[in-house]
Amino acid sequence: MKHATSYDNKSQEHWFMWLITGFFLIYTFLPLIATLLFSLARRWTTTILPESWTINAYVQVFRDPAFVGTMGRSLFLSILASIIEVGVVILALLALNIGKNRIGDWLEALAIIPVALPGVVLAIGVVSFYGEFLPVLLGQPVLLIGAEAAFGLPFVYWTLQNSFRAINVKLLYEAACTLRCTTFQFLTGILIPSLKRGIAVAGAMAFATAFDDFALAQLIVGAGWETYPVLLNKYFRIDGHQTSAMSMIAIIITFLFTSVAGYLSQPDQNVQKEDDFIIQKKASDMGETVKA
Amino acid sequence: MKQLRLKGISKWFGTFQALKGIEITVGAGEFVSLLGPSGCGKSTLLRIIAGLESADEGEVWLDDCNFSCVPPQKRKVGMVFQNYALFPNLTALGNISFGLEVQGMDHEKARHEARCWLEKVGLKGFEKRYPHELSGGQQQRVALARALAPKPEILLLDEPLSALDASVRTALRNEIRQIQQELGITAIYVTHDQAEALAMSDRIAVMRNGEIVEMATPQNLYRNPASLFTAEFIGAASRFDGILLSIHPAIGQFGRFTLLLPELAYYAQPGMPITVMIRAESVGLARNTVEDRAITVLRGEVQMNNFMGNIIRLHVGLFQGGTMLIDLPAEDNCIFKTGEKIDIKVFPEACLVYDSKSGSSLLKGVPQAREMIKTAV
Repeated sequence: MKHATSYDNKSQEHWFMWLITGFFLIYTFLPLIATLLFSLARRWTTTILPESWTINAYVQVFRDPAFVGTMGRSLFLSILASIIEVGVVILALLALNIGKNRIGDWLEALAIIPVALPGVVLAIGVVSFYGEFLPVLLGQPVLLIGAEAAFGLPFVYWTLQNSFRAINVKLLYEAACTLRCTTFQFLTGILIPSLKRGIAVAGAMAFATAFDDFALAQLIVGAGWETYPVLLNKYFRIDGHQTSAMSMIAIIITFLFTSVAGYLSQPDQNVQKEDDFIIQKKASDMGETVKA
Repeated sequence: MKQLRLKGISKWFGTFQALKGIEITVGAGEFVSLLGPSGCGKSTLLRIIAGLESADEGEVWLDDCNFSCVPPQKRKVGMVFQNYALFPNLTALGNISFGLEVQGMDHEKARHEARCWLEKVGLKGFEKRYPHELSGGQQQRVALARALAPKPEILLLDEPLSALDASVRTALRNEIRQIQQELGITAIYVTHDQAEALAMSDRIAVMRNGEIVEMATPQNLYRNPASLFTAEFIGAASRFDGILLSIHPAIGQFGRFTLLLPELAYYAQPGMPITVMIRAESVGLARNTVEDRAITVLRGEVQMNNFMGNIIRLHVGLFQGGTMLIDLPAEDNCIFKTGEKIDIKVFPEACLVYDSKSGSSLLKGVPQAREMIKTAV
C-alpha cells in the first residue's frame, strides 16, 4: 500500500515537471515560432495558422543592397566588441585573482551600471561625454565599438568570474609560479585553455548583446555607419513580413555563432566511458589500501 | 641538496601578527615537518619560503644566498598543495612536463622525463588521464611528480594528504618519504596530523600562535616534550594541575592525591604550580600488585571504553578527582565495563612535569624549548 502511494507521488511529480518544462518551452519558443510563421506567411488574418505561404520576404531582404553591408558591419562590430570585452575582462580578473587588492569589490559594483541603465541613457551619455572632450570620435565606428564593449561588459564579467572561481585561478597561478612559469606562459598555456568554455559562453553573450543592440548604434553612428538593427528598424516601418524575416536571420546568425563557440570550447579529450573510470579509480584506490 | 635558514621571519595580516620572528635551520637533505593546530601560521611560513607571500621582517636563506627578495619563479622550490592544483587543461603527463617545458626543455625530452616521473610515482599508463579522471591519491601523486620533475632544491608540501582517505594517506606518506630519501632533497612538510609528522620527519617544529614552540626529533618530541603545549598536542595524555610539594623526593599534590614525580631540574621550587601530563600508554593496571613505594596507585571507575583496534582506551574517573586515560593492549582479558572499579599504577617516569606558568619542562635533562630551537639554528 505504502509502495503504491510512493509510486503515485513520483508519477505526479513527474507530470508536474513535464508541465513546467512544457510551459517554459512554449513561453520561450512561441514568439520565435510566431515570427517565423509571419515571415513565411503570404496572408494571415483570421486563421490560427497562415492561409498561404511564401518566401518572398526573405528574397526581398537578401536582394536589398543594404543587407550585406549592414550584416558585415554588425558582424565586424560584434566580433571585435566580443574580443575586446573577453580580453579586457580576462586580464582584469587575472590581476584581481592573483593580486591582493580589493578593487574586485568596486569592479563588481561598476559592472552592474551598464545593465542598470537603459541603452538610450548610455548612448546619450557617451555622445555627450565625447562631444565635450573628444568630438573627433563622434559618429565614428570606433566609438560604437568601444561603447558596445562597455555595454556588454557585465555579462562577460559575471560569466568569466564564475569560471575563474570554478578553477581556482589563484591556486593554479601559484602552482605555476613554483614551476618557474611566467605570467604570460600561465595565461596562454594554462588559463585561457582552462577557461575555454567560459570564454565561449561569455563571447557568445557579448556577441549577441552587440549584434542586437539598436539604441547605441542609432544614437552614436546612426545612418553614417548603418548596422543590422538600424536597418531592421527601417524595415519595421516598411513591411512587417520582411521585418520578421530579418529578425529570423539575426536569430539564426546569433544561434550559429553561439553553437560554433560552444563546439570549439568542447574539451578535446579521449575520454573513456564514465563507468571505466569509476572501476579504474576503485581498483587504484584498492591497490593503495593493499600497499598500506 | 641545500640548507634552508629562516632568520626572524615575521608576518602581519592587518593588525594580526601571523608569524613572530621565526628562526629555524633545515639541514641539507633533511625532512622537517611544521606541526601545529589550524591557524598557527605554518602554511603562511611555507608560502613565505616559496615566495608566494612576502615576510614583513626577516630573511630566507638558501645556503649562502638570501632569497628574501627573489620571486617564486626563481627560487627553485617545488611545492605540493593540499588541493593538488593540477592544471585542468593538461593530462597527467602534460602537468608534469609543463614545468620542464617552461624552462626551455625540448618537448620530446620533457615528455620522456615526465613519463619517468609518472612511473616513479606508480602511475604508468595514466599519461593521458586528465585531472578529473584521476582519484585524489592519483592526483596528488601527479602533483608530487610535477613538483619534483624540474629538480627543485627544496620541496615544500602543504598538507598534501589532508584531503585523502586514511588508507591512501598512509600509503602516500610512505611513498613521499621514500622518494625524498632517494633524491636526498631538503623537504618541509606542513601538517596538523601528528601521526604523519611523527612517521615521516627527521625533525618536527611544533608551532603555536605564529611561533615555533619547540623543534626536535619525533622520538624526543614524543618522549620528552620540552613544552606543555607539545605534550598536550602530541599523543593522548591526562593532565593534572597542582603544586610541587617537595623536590627530594619529587612529589606533587593534585587536589586530593599526590604523585611521585621523576627527578626535577635545579630551578624547580617547592610550592610552585606545576602541570603533570601522563601519556595514556605509560600507565598500567595495578591488579594483584604488591605495594611498591616507588609507584603511585590511584583508584577509579571506568567511565568510557573505546576500542581502537590494537588498543583499548579507558577513560577512568579517579576517586581522588580528575580523569585518567589508559591505553591497554586490545586483549580479551582487558575488557572493562563502564562503572567497573580499577587500580592504576603510575610510575614516576611516566610523569611529564611542567611549570604551569611558563609551560616549560621541569624534568632534569630536558632542555628548555627555547634553548632547543636556538641549538637547531
